[in-house]
Amino acid sequence: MTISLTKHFQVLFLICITAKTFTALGQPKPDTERIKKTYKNSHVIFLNKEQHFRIKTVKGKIDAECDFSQQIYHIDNKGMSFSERQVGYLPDFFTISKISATTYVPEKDGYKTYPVKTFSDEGRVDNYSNIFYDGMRFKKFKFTGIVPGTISEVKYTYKYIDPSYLGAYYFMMRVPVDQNLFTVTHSTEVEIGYAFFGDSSQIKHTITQKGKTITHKWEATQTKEIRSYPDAVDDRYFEPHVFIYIKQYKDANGKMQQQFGTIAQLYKNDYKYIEKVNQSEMDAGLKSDVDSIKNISKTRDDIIRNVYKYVQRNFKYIAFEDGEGGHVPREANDVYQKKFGDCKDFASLITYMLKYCDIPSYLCWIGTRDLPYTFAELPLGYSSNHMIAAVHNGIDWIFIDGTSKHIPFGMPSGFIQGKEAIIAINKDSFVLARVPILKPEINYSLDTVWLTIEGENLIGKGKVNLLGYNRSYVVDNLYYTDANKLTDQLKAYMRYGNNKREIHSISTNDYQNNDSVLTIEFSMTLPSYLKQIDKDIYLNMHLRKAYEDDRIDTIGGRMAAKEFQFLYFDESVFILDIPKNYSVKNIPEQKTYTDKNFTYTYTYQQSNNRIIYKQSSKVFNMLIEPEDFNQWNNQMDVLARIYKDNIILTEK
Amino acid sequence: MKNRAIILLSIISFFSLPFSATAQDYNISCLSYQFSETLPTFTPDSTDKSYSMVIVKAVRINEFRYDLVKKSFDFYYCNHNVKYLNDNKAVEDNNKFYASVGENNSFLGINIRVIDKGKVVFEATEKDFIEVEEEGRKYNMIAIKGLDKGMLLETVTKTKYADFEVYDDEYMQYDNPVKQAEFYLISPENLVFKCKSYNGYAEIKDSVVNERHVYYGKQNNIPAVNMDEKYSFINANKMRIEFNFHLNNDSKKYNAKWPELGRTFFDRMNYNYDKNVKDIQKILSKVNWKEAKSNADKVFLIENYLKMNITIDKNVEDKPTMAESLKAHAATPFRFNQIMAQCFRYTGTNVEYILTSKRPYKKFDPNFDSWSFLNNVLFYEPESKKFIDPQEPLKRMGYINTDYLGQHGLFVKIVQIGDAVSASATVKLIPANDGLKSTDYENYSLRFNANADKVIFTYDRTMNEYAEQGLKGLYYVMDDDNRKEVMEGFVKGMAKESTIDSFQILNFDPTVFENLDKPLVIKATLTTDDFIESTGANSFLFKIGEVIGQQSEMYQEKQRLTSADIDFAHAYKRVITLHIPEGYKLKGLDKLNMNFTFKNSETNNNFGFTSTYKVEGNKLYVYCDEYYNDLHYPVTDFNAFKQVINAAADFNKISILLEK
Repeated sequence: MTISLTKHFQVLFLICITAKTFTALGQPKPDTERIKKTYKNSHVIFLNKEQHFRIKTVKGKIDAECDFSQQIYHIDNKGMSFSERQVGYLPDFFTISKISATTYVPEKDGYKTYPVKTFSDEGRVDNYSNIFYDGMRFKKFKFTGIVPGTISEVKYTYKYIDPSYLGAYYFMMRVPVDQNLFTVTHSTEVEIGYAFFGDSSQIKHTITQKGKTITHKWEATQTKEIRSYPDAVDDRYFEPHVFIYIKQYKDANGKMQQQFGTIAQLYKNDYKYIEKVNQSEMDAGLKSDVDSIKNISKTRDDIIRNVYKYVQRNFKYIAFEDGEGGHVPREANDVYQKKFGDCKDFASLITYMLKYCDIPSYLCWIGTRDLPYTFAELPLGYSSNHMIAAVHNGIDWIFIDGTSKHIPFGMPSGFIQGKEAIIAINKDSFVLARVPILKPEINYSLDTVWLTIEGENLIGKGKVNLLGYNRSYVVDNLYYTDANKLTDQLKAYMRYGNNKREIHSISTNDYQNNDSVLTIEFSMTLPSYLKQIDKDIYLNMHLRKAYEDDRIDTIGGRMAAKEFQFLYFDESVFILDIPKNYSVKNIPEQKTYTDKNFTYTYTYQQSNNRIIYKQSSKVFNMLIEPEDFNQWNNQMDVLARIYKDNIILTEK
Repeated sequence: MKNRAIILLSIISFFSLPFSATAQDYNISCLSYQFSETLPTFTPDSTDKSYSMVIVKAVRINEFRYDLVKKSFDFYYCNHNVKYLNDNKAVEDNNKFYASVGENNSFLGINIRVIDKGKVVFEATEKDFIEVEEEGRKYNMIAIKGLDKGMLLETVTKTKYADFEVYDDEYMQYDNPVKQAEFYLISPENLVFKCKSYNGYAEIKDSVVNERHVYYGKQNNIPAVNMDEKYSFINANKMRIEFNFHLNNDSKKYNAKWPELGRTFFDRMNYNYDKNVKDIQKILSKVNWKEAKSNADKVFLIENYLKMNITIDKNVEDKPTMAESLKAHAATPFRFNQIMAQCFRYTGTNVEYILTSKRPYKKFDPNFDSWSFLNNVLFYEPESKKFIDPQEPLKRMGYINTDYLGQHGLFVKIVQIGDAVSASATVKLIPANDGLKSTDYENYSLRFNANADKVIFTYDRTMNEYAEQGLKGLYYVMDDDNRKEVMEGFVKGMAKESTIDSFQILNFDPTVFENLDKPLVIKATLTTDDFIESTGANSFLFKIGEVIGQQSEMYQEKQRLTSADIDFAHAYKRVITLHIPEGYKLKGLDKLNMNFTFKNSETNNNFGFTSTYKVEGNKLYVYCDEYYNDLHYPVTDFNAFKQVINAAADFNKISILLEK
């Protein structure tokens, strides 16, 4: 039964949620002809997207407000589904006021306006995200009467309770923006700083002063939409955006108060969240558990390793991001009692347990790989979104992430590789250190499969060894698999030959032991794979095509680099016993290639009554940048041809 | 009571509420239900341990009762679970507990306790929960402290409903095994209900105790549902109970049967019809229905106009009038159905209304008269015998969502005697489609280039009736970018790295009456080397099986306890013509002979996959047919069904050798 349509339907249903209509357009005020011509592939655009900060001091304290306004132009009937909107706010950090929304429906001589009358105020329940509760609230509303040519407008004002978090202005969205305008108006009693990221060549920045008022203005026209690609880096790696922050301001006594602008200032601000944590005496139960760990550990490293394992095995990840709680690690005793926590809580527990063992360990702020910033580039809270623990082994810093269940002590989580960490030594000192990117050899995978031919079937017996992140990502999946589905899940990894393979037996070593190599052993029968024609057997030895679906999609002038989760070294060896009465008629040539991003080698070797086929590849860079896309895709074409090679055995 | 249908029944007026009755002494009641003083225990055996979680006990209480003080008739629902957590997944799936109620309903109580080695290690009641409201629902959430593997998690959630109906279904089978399930329906003695079990759940028995009906059914050892089954209506096959109010013994009034339900629905569809006439005239003013050549043509014009001009959106707030809905280009599903029904009536089309359910959701039971089966609406034009699906914006008369094919439905017919307008209703079958008429004719011609390292692939498909798989309408509404992306993927099939030299699609516009029964035709020319595998200088393998596109397979499908069901009956008639390049001979053709044909043991209809070939001159012809003439294949035919599905997937793997 053909299945080729199903996949496409899934995509299509997303775009076909509205029926096609033939409503005649009126004569709206915007230059519709220009818009339709400029944005001919768009259904919806931002006509205007504006954000205006007003920052001053009131009684020696920062008073920051920002007016937001957005006008969306619904070009055609497929843009009508943008009728339901919401605006979020975090009551402990910034409140919302003056919200209004209006639909401008085109009529013969202009527009008829339909103001939105009802705004609901709701919380958020999200069973599927990592955050169980975050205190976020939303103003939700619905635009009525949207037809092609309609403009839907929303306006609101944020007032910042905590001016440490003023956010960023993003010049690109998922749909084009015709006019961007971002201004920051502040009194001379306030000095602001800003940090710009992405390509600034199309952004106009001006600074003007009128009396005691300074205005920064950023403008950009016709910014194109951001397309999604499944293997792409986060949008923030390339889209233009600007963060603003308070550098200093004059307090009630006329003294300048330093705020942000340096890493030291950021540290000073953040340290207050951690300085009072874990001052109380250790819970008796936790103490008993740590004592047991100390008893079974022979060395300092053993203790750290066992503490880490203890946290990995006994605690579940549940995140509460409620107000200030979003910054403050919870008491280790509390985490111990609850058996759950988030990154900060696990870091708190690990450092507290190690402190009890007289091993210095420290809390660290770090950004995951989604955030492209260094702390020097962006000395604000927006540079970090994660907390881990760190210990020093005399030579290097070792980073310990309590949220990663299946990595051994000594390995950082995959998603913080290459990122900077601020290690909190004490109130007055911190260390800035970079998490290493693990070498490809550490994330090694090797499959070795011994093959024999029985009639028209290929019989295989194999062993797969997985190390590093190759191991931990597989174990992550196994961890969340029902016991009765574990075998099926393992079989699903053995994608050799074709989908008719029968995996007869499959087993692993103790996959929950993070310190060991994951070894999977299996046996299989592969029917309908080799071709026996007259006296010859044709066999494609590429039973696993490592780069079969690795072309980079470059449609839409892709700006986003391709990202690998980790660097890897991948080897497969297939050893075929040549049947007794057969000889080798054809063996393909060796193929090899190397560039700055990756290398591969495919070799065939005949040895006595065996053919040993080996494929080997390494990826050297976590990012393939757009300038290298062609080179990469050319090699994918070459590999597609390599994958077509067959060996031929012929009956003697 | 879970997701209640919106339909409001006048049934409530049938009750003569006995407010003078004395207080009742209930043995089991949602109001007083609580954890047992004896802690539950459970020791898993080896089979139990193979599941992430075992539901040791599942109790569901549906309770209708009079409140003699407030003089109201109320509904309460209690959900009691005892779960044994075998592994980390179960812990992570259960350590965040959510309970929710709709806007007008309220929690009567929520209790959680965790039991480890015979001791309660955690307890919580609703005061411990975080309350959040979203989308009109109130949520009570808690993260459960200390929960771990090997523990029992016991929860009781009791809810009082302000909005409720006197019918519902209760599903008792989940994706984890249930050791003991208990279903209760409790009602005052004067109110008699009917309960019916489906798919193997124990019979529900009525006992009158202390002036209450206690309908009860207990089922032990309910197996886990296998969510990975292919070609399976998993939800429809789950154990469940339907219940429905039957009789008020005080007033001796019976609940509505099918004919009355049909009439009620007719009245709802025609609500304010006389007042709406001006509106309908306004809506129809742009429809040239008076010039229609036939009744079918008239129906099509109305359907097409409404679907082209009103978007169905269940979240939209309906405008006061139908004409305003048209002006706003948006209506709720119910309002849209109403507009369509009243337009059909105004134009004298004699269109019938059909109420039914989707097959994957539940099989319609003609012997259980209940709104529970009447969830979806179709229309039927008797002259042309064509069905209309109002909720499918991209389909037009004659073609409906395939979930309704072969399902029973309540057919509601307008009856006019003099000026009086009413309706009659009977349960009839919505026929399955004719598999032979839904044939996809696929003609593929392949010529090699001069070097015989690429093929020019001529692709020609004629997809009749349901075999077009909804592609017609989708193609029609897609923009150019999407059309290109989707159609490229579609015609390339397994030749992913091919280039498309020409492409043509015909008859895709569903808004043209003449296109209704025309097949969707797709023609393309591609150049590819994807079907070729190298074997040295003088020969190459040609993966002829991949020419027909990726086929679905059931190689890993395990022992089945349920039938196989498909979306629509259909057939493929494929002809592959391979032009043999000069100087080459073909080898390995014998694999192209395949024959897997069977008869459905219920209908005696054929299903199968066959392949034959012939070589004439410099051409190889492969004839590859596949046909499924029924929608439903009983479990006894499952292995045969699997063989046919897999035969097509086996065909994908055939290669032939071209040798100089």
